[in-house]
Amino acid sequence: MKAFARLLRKGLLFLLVTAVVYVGTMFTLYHLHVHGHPLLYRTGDHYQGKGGLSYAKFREFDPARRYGVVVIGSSHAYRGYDPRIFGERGIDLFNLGTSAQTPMNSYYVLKSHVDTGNCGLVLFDLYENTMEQDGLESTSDLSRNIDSDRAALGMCLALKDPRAIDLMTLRWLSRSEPPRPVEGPHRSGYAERTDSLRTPTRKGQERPLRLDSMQVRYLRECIAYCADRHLPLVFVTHYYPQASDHQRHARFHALIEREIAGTGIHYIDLAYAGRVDDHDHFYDHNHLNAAGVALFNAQLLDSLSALGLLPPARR
Amino acid sequence: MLFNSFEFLCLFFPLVTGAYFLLPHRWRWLLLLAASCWFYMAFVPVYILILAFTIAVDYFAGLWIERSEGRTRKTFLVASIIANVGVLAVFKYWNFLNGNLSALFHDLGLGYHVPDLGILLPIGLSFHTFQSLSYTIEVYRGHQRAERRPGVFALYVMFYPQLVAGPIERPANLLDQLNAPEGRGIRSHLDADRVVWGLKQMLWGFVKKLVIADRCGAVVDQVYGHIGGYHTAGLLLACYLFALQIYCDFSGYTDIALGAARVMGFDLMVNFRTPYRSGSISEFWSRWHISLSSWFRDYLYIPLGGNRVSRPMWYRNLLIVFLVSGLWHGANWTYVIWGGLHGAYLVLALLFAPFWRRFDDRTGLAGAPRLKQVLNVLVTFHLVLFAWIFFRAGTVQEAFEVIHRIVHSGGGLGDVLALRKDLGNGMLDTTLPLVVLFLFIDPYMDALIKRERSGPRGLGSMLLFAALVVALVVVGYYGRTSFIYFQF
Repeated sequence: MKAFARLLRKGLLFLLVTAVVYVGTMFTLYHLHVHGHPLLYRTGDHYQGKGGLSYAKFREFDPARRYGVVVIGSSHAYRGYDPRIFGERGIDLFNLGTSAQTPMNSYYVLKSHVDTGNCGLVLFDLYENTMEQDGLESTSDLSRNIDSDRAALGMCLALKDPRAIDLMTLRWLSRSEPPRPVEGPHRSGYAERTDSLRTPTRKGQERPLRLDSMQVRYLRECIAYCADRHLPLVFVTHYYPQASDHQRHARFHALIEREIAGTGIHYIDLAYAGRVDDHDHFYDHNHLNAAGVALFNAQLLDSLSALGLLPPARR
Repeated sequence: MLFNSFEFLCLFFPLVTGAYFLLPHRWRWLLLLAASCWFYMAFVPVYILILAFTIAVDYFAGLWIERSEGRTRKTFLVASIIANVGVLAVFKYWNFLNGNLSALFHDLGLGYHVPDLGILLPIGLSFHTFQSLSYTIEVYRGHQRAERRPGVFALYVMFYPQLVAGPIERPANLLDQLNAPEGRGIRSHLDADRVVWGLKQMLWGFVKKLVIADRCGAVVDQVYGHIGGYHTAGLLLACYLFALQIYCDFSGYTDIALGAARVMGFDLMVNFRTPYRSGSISEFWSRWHISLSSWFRDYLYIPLGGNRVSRPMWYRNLLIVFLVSGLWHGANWTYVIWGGLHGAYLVLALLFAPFWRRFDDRTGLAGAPRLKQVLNVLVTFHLVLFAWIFFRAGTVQEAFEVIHRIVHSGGGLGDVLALRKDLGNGMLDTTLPLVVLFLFIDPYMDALIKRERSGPRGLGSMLLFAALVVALVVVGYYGRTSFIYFQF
């Protein structure tokens, strides 16, 4: 017992000393600049800057206002759902999609921002690549840019990765740092690209599908969160280039169908349902440009309408 | 389960260690055995059956060797050796042998259609097989009493801290601690000083692995993955960093293993003693992977006759031991060449010893022992470095391509700048200063961790180890996961 008490005393003191050394180190590395950037950014590839569209959209989103549709998901989401097109049908859309947002990140975005009071329908854009990731990239972005400390902390804890401690510390250290401005046209969280793909998409090697178990677990959490609040949720996959791996996506589709079986949730998978050209409707090998978005959004709205899932149009 | 995983650090280790000290001494073996099974089965569960087979064979072999005499005794030992080597042959060398035979028959224009077994190499197979074998050999030699309790013997083979990458323990050390009297080994009491000592050693192991080895590994992987894209400077840098990577990866693992065992009251054997400070290849092997080199010395080199034979036979013995050591590491010609090079270095050192003595006398080096030692260390390190090229390369051709490009392709700072750009985001900018810092502090930390020198006390000690924890969190590299020696 005496040995245990001694250990405990020493352990607590060590933790205190470590915390002081850690904060001092992070403070120094953050405030020392090399070529205009904090030295801290050179210690790892997991740091992302403060500002940009992610920062702007969480400040622009008004939790007190009622949106017809809120979109969550990765770059497919914030590049693929144009509020103007939804607006033409009388639906207010806000896009909370962010770079590489995984279901784990989406869960905390949902939990901190979306509720029955401010949202009529959640469109969750699903993309297999984000479900294979550990969520570090998105957590790095959101931990700097989301306006909710709780959501940032939740994501960092969910990572179970020591780098998450650095991310939270950086969030705290950079509170007074001015955010960098948003580049390119954007509105209600949507970022538009009008250029087209210059090089044709070549058929890549077939890759196995390995979904991250944590992401699958958080996808279920998202479903449960919406079900608990009677918040309508629809999974969507936007157009893929024809040159992409059809079989891989078919396996992904089957997995999602299995996940939502019995929940009453619809999965509108338009990956290969559009009459799109790999060259004209994409700005890179993965993302739709404005012309592709126009086609996709129109088809999605028709699908939602046919299923009776469209929220009532604003008056 | 990896030592550097969340599961190990936050769940397995604290829970097992906590339960270990709470349990009555007589039940601790059962907890450790269950924990070791769990630890091993976290990789590929079914491979525990291989371990079970080895344990069963050697447990009974030990008992029967002890009970019998004369030729029967030897028969049981041979049976144990065949069973252990057989497991290695099937799971580690079958595909290698089959592939080589297939190529040979193809070259001779003969048909050969034996399919590969398509099996994954069970993790740590070479380690626990050798540990188990050392038991039956020691019982045969009469140095060790056969263990009566199968559970304790199983724990000797499976003790989780050193199960997958050593140190390859001897029964005289580990089995003795599993049967220790009150206050020692498995019957030790919670000792705050020992726990802190073990945790410090684990921490130093994690720093070596995550701050140095994995960072160096990212650079090395980039270069070895695109050999044709780099020239002399980039490739040389990768070779130097690989030397550091493998040292920090393996000795880091060993420190974590020794530290985890020490917390529970066990003293595992020392496996590394700052090997790159060796002044000769033979000294290198007395400082690098000591548990393996001493295993080969005791169970292969000495039985072959060691150095108590004619000179040609002595050289043959050295070459055999190092070729087998190369093959022990992996079923690939690159490892065989790596081992062969070390054997050749030793033989050449013996052959040229008179020449070097005359050289030292004529150049005055004999009268300048410190300078001579520095030169010896540099030469030894570069010989080891050259052999590491084969160890790291995926194929023999790849190794020769690296050597060819180092010699012929030129390219200086520009090549390193290109590598820096390829790695992105200051990876090299952070790694190189950390490597330089590590080279300065490693001898100090190594001696401190082994308690061969005194270090700062009180707050100074806390600050030192707090800085190591901070280094882990701030500059640790978390892109890689496994340890290099797990594949052996």
